[in-house]
Amino acid sequence: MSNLLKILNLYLYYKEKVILDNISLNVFKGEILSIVGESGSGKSMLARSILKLTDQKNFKVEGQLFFKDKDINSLNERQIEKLRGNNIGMIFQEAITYLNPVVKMGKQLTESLIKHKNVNKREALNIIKNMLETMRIEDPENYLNLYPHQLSGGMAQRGMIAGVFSCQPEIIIADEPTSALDTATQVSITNLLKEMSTLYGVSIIFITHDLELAKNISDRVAIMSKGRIIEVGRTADIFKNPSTKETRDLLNCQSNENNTNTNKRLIEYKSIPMFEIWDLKKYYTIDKKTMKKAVDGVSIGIYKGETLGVLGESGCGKTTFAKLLTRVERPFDGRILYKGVNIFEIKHYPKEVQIIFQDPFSSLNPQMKVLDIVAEGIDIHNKIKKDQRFHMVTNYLEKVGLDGSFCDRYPHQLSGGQRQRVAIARCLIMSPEVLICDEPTSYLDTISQKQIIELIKKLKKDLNVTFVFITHNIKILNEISDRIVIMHRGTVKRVYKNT
Amino acid sequence: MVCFIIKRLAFSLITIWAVVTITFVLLQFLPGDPFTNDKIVHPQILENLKEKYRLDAPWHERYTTYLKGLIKGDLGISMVYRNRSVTSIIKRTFPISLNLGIRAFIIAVFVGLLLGLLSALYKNKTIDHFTLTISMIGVAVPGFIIGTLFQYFICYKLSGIIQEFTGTTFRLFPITGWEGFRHTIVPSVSLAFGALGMIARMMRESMINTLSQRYIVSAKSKGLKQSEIVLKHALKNAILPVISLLGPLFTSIILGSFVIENIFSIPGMGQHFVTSIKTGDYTMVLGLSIFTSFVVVMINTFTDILYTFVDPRVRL
Amino acid sequence: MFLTARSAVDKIKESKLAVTCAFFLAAVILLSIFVPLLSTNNYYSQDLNNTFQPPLTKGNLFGTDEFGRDQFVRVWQGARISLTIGVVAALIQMIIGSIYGGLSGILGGLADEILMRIVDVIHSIPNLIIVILITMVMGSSPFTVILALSITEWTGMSRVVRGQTLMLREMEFVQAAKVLGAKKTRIILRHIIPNCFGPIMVNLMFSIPGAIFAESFLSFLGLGINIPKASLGTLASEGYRFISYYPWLIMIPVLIITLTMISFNVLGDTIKEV
Repeated sequence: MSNLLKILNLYLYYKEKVILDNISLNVFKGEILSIVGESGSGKSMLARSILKLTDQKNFKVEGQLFFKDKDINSLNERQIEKLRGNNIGMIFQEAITYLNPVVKMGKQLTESLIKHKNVNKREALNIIKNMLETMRIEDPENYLNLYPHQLSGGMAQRGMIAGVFSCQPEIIIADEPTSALDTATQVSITNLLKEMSTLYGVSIIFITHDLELAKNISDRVAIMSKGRIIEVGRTADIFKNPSTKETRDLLNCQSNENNTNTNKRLIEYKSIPMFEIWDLKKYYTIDKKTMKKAVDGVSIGIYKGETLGVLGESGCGKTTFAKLLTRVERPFDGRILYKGVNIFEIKHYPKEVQIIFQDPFSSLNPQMKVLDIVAEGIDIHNKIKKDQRFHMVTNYLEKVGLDGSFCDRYPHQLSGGQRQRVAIARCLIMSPEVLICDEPTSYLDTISQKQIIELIKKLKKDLNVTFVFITHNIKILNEISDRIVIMHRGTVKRVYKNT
Repeated sequence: MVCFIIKRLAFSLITIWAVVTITFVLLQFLPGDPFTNDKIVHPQILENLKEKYRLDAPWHERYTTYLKGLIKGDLGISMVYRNRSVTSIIKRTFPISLNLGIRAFIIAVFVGLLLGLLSALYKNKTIDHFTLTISMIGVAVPGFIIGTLFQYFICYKLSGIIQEFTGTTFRLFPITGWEGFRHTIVPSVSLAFGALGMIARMMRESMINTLSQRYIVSAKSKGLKQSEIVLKHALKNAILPVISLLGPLFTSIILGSFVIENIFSIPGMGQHFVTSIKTGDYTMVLGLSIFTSFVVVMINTFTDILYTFVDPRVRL
Repeated sequence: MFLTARSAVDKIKESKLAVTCAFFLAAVILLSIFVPLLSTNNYYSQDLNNTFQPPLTKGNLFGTDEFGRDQFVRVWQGARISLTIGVVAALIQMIIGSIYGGLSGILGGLADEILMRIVDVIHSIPNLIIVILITMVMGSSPFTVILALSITEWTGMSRVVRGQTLMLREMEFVQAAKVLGAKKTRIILRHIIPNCFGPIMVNLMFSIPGAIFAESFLSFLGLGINIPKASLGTLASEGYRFISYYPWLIMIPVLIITLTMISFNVLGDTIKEV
């Protein structure tokens, strides 16, 4: 196989930060190469660097990118324009946002053809129409007259694929092309890409966070983590014998999603349930026709003293689940029993259930001092003397690793980690029995992330509190949780004990 | 779509009704007896007025007569000049004001959009600073100040210098009047200034925002040139918020014309309006106010409806 | 993202332009308070032997007008009137607008719908026309000008406050307070009202120059403040008559009014970015 694209020692800097760290990679003719990594691993930035689509004011590139012996990094803008769309095409995640909302599909899809292939408008439209027909889109004539907002996500993505393939480029970069779509569409789009690749002999760089998808579609896989490529190889080899720990972690986390038959069944557990959740549903109406099923039939129990980890990608409904548990949102259907009582039927929400939010910058009132923020719970429920109140707040601030000197500060004078500690102190002062943590670390830097996790571990040991810990990070859950629930598209995919 | 237009029209009818009612209420509160103030009012006019507004009837009857008159297009008569109806004044003066207003509007839209566009494309360059300064002045400086300064420096000083230089009596920009093309330039530019500043500012922000959208990246990935991306993809999206602003901008131009017409002695409706205020011709002021409000509300309605045609996403 | 008095000051300190504007405004305010109080001249005494003196002549820093009145005192007296009208009208608009908008946002549902439709109607009436009519009918005095401006221009503020209220209701610290067991009154008093302060201040910074703008417009139409008192707008439109012969009579008030408006706008833009 001949080598189409050769990346040699590529670095990408954003201001002083290293985004891509010494990347070397080859793409061969006709192959499908998956680049797999968690969000933030730099895989999307790599995709964009290949076509120099990164904002050149803020990003600096070093290294070499050979496309058939031409170093892309040494080309000028005009020469790169000839490459883009013509030799290397690109497909994006959430196609609808990558389509111009005020331009008809026909015009947008024929653009690259007209630009590169010396055809007129009518010929281009015909080519696209045929293309859409081979992709089994009904009534392509009508399709080309629509605006992006009139299409579903899957239909928009198909159009974009047709537009990119129409120029018959040698390489197509597909940046998470299916991750915003539902499962059925996901499968059909993936199959379509595979088919088209064989049909036109195009190499595809398939970028995804989903190992399963990568396994199904690709000939080779490259695993990325923290801006580096940590492993490259034939798909079968990588899945059989992963050589690095990161890959194994990724594999472990995702292979658990396979057994799906535990939905709607309570797992047996020894102690008493604090929460019993029965067939919980929460739908949001997007417009007259479509509804987003944020939480779609979740049934589960949360037991005294345990730490229940809820794991899922963003958009899987886990935050909505937290909001329902705390009665901030009301369900469309289903019940949540707290100690046997339906929380949606009582007047006061049980004050021994508290929540810690994801974003420490919006969860503290910017106009209140730390003292008043932490004391809010006691102010509401029982009036106490001023010095006693101060004493109590100091006491709880110390429990979360702060001290009394913080009392007079405002939230904007604190770091993210300190803010999150204040938020935890605000909950602790209520002597909670259940503490719901909704991604409490995802807005923090690595060091404070670690410290917050340590703090939560310590609290878990010292107090007899039931934790519900919601996150997208499997490592954290492996560290702290007793049971893990995997959520996907609003449903529970699997519940298992963490050993 | 049709439903939206009907709703929008009904809404503007309510607005116009509110204006009319407010003017009716104010009419009741005119100083002293509405039609006998300290000015000498011709007895026949007084008679006409009394009969017309049926001053002795109870208020609700007067209100209905007032409304009926308005529906027929009768805006009342002047209480200073004999036999001069508001409608006749409008017929004579409005075309001139409209002419001036449209000139100013065109200048404001074209220059404003251009400046805003250039400013966004060359952010933090000279043209950007220039545009930001112009738009700050346009937004912050009252129209009559801009009018007077332009008149003084351009019509008076600059034209004077040109006269001296060429040794003729030819005045490039006449100070006052409304006779030929040269007369229209400075007033239209002065009138346009405020709206121009707002459009430039709005366009700049909107263009910068549009250029950071995802569909711009995908256009780039197809191999389009920067100029093609701006013209084919960014421009139409960036202009949309500006279009939604056109109604209020036209309103500001109409009200600004009251002042500009006075400064440059242009015999339009605005000048007549101000003269009527100064001579205490209350019925004339009320009549012209209703007409102006009507025009303003209609223009806003029109631009709102126009917007639904331009933006495919709101097509209902 | 949330404006507090402190963060606003910090933001202003960052920009030289904003600092200059703040100092300029402070100077205008101080001069307009103290010049009329302390000067040996006053704004109404005429001296017909001493008319149209150019600026910087003895005893008259800004020169004199057609009646020989001292322009320096008249200008700062005018600035005092313009600023008073601007600030008072903007404050009244703020009060009406905040209460109305806050109520609408907090009540929500049908009440919100009705209240906002009313605002839509008032908003689409050309305000200045109504202001002209009111001042014409009620006679022009600072009081009527303020009244007319207050009752027509509060809709912008009410929309801002309503929007902010609706946004705050969804904020996580409000949700946290609910989970802590806070009642509605507590949430409104402690969490919603204090956090409306920022947008209200930003809006205020724009409605003050807006009101000064409108007042000068009225002065030009002859509906402003009655002689011998004068606002900056009145002074400018009086000076207009003599522009070709005694340009300083118009230039000085115009300069002050322009710089004041620009300063308010710059400060408004600056704190908006917080």
